[in-house]
Amino acid sequence: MNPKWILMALILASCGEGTTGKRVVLHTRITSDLPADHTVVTSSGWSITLEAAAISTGALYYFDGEPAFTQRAPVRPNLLEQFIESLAPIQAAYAHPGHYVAGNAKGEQLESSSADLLAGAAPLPDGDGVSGPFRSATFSLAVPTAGPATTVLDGNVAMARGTATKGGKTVHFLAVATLAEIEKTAKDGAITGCIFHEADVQAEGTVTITVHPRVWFSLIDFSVLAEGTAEAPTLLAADSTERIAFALGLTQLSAYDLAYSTP
Amino acid sequence: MIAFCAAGCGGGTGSAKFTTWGEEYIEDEIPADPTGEGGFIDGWTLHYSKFLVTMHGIKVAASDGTVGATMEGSKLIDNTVAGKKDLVTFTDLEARAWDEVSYQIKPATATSELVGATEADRTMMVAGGYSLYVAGEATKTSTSGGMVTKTFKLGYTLGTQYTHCLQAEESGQEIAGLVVTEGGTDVSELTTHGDHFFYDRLKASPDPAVATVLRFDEKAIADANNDNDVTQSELNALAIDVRKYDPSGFDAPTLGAFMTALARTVGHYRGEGECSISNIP
Repeated sequence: MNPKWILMALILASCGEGTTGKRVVLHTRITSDLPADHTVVTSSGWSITLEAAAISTGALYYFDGEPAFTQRAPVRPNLLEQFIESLAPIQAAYAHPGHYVAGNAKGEQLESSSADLLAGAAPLPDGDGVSGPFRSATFSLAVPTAGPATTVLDGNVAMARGTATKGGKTVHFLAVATLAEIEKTAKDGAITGCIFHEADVQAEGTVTITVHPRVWFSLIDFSVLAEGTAEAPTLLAADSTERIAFALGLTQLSAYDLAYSTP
Repeated sequence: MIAFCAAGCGGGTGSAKFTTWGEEYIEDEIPADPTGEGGFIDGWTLHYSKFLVTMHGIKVAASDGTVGATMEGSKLIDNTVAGKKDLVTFTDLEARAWDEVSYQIKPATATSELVGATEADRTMMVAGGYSLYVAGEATKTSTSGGMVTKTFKLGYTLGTQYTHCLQAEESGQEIAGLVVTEGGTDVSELTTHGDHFFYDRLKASPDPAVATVLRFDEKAIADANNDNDVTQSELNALAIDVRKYDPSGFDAPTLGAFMTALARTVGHYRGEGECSISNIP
């Protein structure tokens, strides 16, 4: 059953009753975890400095089922706990293949948009949901039709331009991916089972999608690419191994996580 | 999903017996199969000499919170030993549907009961902190006509929880857990699937035309020092060939990480039945 109709049924059946099932407005925004210099290092040791990165978003769905990931500390801490945790080693997230069980639909945002990931946090259209626990999400990539990054995306669901450096070699690259290319792993562009940092949603608030672009490049071997130039970066060619690797990186669960907050 | 005799089928008690089996892929071999449907698509044949797995916490419970029984301790099993092996039998269980069957694969302990495994196996498993250990060899006729053989000995320290185990759909309807009848003994097999390590995807493709197949060529290529023994460190050092291996949204950039992710999927229920999988820290 389409999650949208499940969500509508939940809202109609439980309007205004108890602490679950109350309709709430969920504002949406998207951001990235890129540092100020837009430089990240992949698991294979490539230092990636991004000059441009954009993404086209499709439908978002939120669920109360556990994500396909399992984290040690699924409950998002308050500010004091965040400070204390910052003093401790980073807890690792363990991803495993298995059977993601979404559970009950809790919220959605159905309008497409796009975002420049180097421009800081950007608003997406509002969604809505029903109160209760939120634990996982479906994040979709879509053909760009709206939003500020439509032009730079040029019909692709994501793009990234920058340099990749390792062992004395620097490659100026341009990576793009079409919906068809990511659909080989994510049907209809939907990446299911993403982490929604566990929250008990009881009031109007904001869902923030954090994109981790470092993950996009984790499978790319830049050493086989021509170095290119800043003016003429090397395009990851269609059907090339590196292009396939970029598409696989775009659909990794660890590239996206969601969280709820209130003012 | 069928939910019959949800609570109390007219009273009485029965038993639930748990066994384990590795099927032919572990007991005999994983053959070559150019179609990829029933063996290695790239021409290899594989024999396991050891398939050690430690099972803990076998539990019979219900979604209403009732716990029927839980196995104490753990069992260290070698599923290369032929035949189905008994693990535990719970008696005096209420005759009803128990829809929450669960178990764990976790590291062996000094007190893990041996089921087909040896004391030397247990010593090795405990020393390595292993929950799962596989050893064997794969062979293939080379292009020159000779035989190529690669051995492997791979230990995994993973802790995996298998919950909400479902019997496979046979009549179009899933059955959660098991049903104990009055005076009867229900038998559940905790099946281990030896082919999963060699899948080329971590999830089935959303495109039904794209099949999941078994591959070994890249594992052989990982033998960097060419001593014909493929080690975990060699697998960890080789990036996956993205034209052949699809991490399906998961973070598995090397063959070692890829196979480690697949190790969690080894445990099944009643043959092809599946459980929800989660990590035990």
